[in-house]
Amino acid sequence: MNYEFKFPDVGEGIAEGEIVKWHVKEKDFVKKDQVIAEIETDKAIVQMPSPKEGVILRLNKPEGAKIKVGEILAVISDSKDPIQEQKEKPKSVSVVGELEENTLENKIIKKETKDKKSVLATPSVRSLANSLGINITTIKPSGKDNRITESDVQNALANKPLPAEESSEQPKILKKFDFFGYIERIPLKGIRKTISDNMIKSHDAIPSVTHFDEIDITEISRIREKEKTNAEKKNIRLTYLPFIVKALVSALKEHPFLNSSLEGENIILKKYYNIGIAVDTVDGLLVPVIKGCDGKSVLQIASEIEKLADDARSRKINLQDLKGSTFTVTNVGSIGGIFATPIINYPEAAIIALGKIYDKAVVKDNSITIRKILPVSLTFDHRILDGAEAARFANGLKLRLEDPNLLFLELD
Amino acid sequence: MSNLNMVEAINLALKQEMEKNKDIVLLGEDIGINGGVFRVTEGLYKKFPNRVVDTPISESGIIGMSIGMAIYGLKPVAEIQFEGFTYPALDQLISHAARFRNRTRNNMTASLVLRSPWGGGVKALEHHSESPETYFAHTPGLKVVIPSCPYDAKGLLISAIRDKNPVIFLEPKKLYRSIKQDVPEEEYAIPIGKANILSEGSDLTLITYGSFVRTVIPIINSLPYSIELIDLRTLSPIDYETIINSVKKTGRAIILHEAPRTLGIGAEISALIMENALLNLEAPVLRVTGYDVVTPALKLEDYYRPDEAKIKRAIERVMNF
Amino acid sequence: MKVIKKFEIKRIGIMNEKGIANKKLMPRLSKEDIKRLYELMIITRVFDSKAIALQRQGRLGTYAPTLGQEATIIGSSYALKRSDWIIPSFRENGMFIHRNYPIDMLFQFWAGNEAGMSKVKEVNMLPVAIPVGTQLLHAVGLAFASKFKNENNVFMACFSDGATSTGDFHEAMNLASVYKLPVIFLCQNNQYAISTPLSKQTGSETIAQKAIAYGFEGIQVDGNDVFAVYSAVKYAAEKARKSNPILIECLTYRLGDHTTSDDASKYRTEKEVSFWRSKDPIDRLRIYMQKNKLTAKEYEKKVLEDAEKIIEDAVAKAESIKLNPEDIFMHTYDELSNNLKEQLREFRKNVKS
Repeated sequence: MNYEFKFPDVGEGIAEGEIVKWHVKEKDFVKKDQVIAEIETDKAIVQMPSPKEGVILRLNKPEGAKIKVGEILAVISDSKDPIQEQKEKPKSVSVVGELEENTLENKIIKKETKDKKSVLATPSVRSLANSLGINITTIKPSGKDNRITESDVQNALANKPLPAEESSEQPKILKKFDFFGYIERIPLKGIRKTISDNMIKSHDAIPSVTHFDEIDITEISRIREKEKTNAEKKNIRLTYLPFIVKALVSALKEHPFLNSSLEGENIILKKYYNIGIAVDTVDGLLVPVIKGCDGKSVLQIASEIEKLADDARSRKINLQDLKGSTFTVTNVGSIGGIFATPIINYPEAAIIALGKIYDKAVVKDNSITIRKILPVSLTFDHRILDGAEAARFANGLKLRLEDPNLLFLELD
Repeated sequence: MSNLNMVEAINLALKQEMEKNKDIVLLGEDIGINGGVFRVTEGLYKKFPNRVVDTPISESGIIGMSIGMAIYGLKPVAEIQFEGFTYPALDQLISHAARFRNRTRNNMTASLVLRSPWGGGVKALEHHSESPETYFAHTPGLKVVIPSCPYDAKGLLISAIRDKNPVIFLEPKKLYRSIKQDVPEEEYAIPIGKANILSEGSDLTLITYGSFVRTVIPIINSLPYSIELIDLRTLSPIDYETIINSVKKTGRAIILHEAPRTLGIGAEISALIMENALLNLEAPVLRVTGYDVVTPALKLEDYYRPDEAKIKRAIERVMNF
Repeated sequence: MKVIKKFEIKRIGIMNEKGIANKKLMPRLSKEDIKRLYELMIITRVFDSKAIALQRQGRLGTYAPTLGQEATIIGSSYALKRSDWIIPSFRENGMFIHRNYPIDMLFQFWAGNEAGMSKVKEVNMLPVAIPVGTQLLHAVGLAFASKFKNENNVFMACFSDGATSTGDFHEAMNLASVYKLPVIFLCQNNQYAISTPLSKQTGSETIAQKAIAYGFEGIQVDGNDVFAVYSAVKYAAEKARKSNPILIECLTYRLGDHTTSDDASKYRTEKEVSFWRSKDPIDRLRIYMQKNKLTAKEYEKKVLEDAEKIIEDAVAKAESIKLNPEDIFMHTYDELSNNLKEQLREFRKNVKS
């Protein structure tokens, strides 16, 4: 057997050396511990003793070459006469090739087998379940041969409870300080994580511009004051929001590109009007969706907004009610602030942020008067539409809110 | 019971069958006095001097002659020295051996066995590490058998000799001497057309044949998955019942072979799995194979043969699909 | 410098075109034998013409005519024992007929039904072989097995001049000589392999001399002289029975096209064909028989009529056979494999609909 003398770890973190000098040549016979080479590391020049007696069959690198720890320095034969080694004809050599003797492992290590629930489903149905985050083994099959169909998956989705991370749980504190001082570490998960992911997605994908404007909401304010009690009789809390939503839908019908989505190389114009209303909850922003706002009255919208907002805050809301919006409204003004640069609720085309309604002295009909002003910030997807269109839309919204009779005229 | 390697197991099978059936005649190049270049027929010429025939270099002749011998009532077991040299005999195999039964509506059959050292991984020159098994498996009328251990080699060769159809018996030379097993002294036959499940598993079905059956064992041992390892043993006819049952259980399958990928056995089995177990599949059926190139000579051979990294990558891909 | 080996090739001829035979060389044949030879050659020719006619009517597949080669075909077969084997190529129909192979089955084969070759073992023949030259190795294998069993049989491997160019011809000749096998290599040198004339097929002056290279005897024979062919093959059989392979080259001519899909006039002259027509093997035998009072007008008429009747009956029988399409599956292996079982199931469904 030939011995491969590898450059050993000479210590102190040395990884590499340079061969300064060979003290032997190939075919030399060496005794054990006889110095065969000098190697320079960045600490010192080290002398390499031979680990065994034998004949130098091969010096693997020349003087001056670099050698890493673990690389072969030299090959030393067993016997005094290396030629003798070769005389013994390996008996498993055929006329061509080399056969190994007794080198293969035969025993297979048994691994724990799992009792898997076997389900039948086509690859496309499996993929659908996966993308909706449903464990396919929990779905009831209704297809032929007991297979799970696409509608089985959709049914499972409808019955699925909201993925709730226990947010009341105290986050685990992993490390109490970093290099500069004490810290508290809160893992990003649950709704916060979802929001984080969505914001990144929207921000990365959409080149957005925010268009600011102020809307004179005084007329709406009067109507609201007047009709508040009527609404209360129907158990409906009438806020500005339902009026704004109705006006938005009218304006969207005139400016369809703000009610759209960019998918690949196609702009998908939505012919339905589902308005998402951002709701601030303890765990973060949720966006319940009022479906079919074009077919609903102000009162109906008001009622739905209230219900969905309550459901969202109490975490009882259905997954379906959080999906399908075509345009989103975020009413940060209820807390405070004038303008903002809201981030579009991906994959919609625009989002409008409503600032705090405030009394402002304005010039109207050549005189100074006090009007109620609603600041709005409209962020839009510049890939789909331009500032001019956004401005026109904003004007359309403004027109209807400043002259509510238009809404009455557009009633269908 | 003796602890034998594959060469010895085959030698034992030949010896015992020749003792039992006086019509068995071995023929091939250098198989008599020399005992075969791999020593597989060692000692048989001495024992049966007129039944172990050294032939001239005449591969087409060896098989053509075997056909005539078989028709006349002998049982020829022909050796072609290396699988790469079966090609000159392909005409006799495909045009005649495979067809005599059909051509004469059962009046005559070319019931012969062709034995040949097969496959790579032995640092050989060109033509000595080939994978021609698909040419044979694609020929109706032929049966193709590849054992993966000494025990199987004896049992399958006995079945091949006793089979009434022409059988191609390919011997993985990489395994000739690299494993030893207890091989019973008495006769036993392993049925042709039946695959062998070496170890049961629930995560993934790994189907292979030849030397990879053995070399894959340490690889699957090192992984945490419960892998069901299937040795095909017969490439024609394929035991697709065993394969389908396994894949229905695990939902994932990989086929591993050293033969080039396109139109290899992996392609056939992949189609069979797709046709019969589509609803159970949780991942695509992957094939880990040699590349669609001429089998390289020894210096670059290791780049061609599926290595540990390639096999592991495929397993991970299937498990994490 | 010594001459270590010389060779000579003999050509045997006994009866010439004029029907005159060299009495000294005449083989031992009774009157009945000679008449039987004539009758067999006539049936062979009638079979041949009928087959061509049937092909032209779409009732037979591609057919390879044997017109002009009857002396070689019948003379050689007649010289063997029934226990000897004949390994044909595809131009030896007369040998099947001589051995009483059902003629309707021959028609079945040429019509494209494998069942036509399902009784060959009973007549000690291999089925018709289409890939040129490959069957010679089978003959060698049969001969090897027979010698192994210490039998006394001879194996006549038939092939044409074209086959002598193939690798398998060479391997078969070599193996026969190495193992000293009882093989008669019978070459029907009909001068053409489709359109390739002999001069383009080989550089050897004779095919017979090719045997010398392998260490055994090669004889050339006038292939249109049934007595010479008979005599040569009788001699060959004796030698072969003593484990000496031998090559007989029968010089004859393919008067017809290569097959019914060929038009030989594209590559041969009418002059050449007429020349060989004048050497017609049946004509010269008839003249000999007439000269030797072995035949009369009524006899010749009767032989022809009988032959035609036999052939007609055979055609009728052949065409009444019903084929079973499932036969395409049944004879791949001794038993249906799983994939074939499944495919047969599929097949049956399709056939029903």
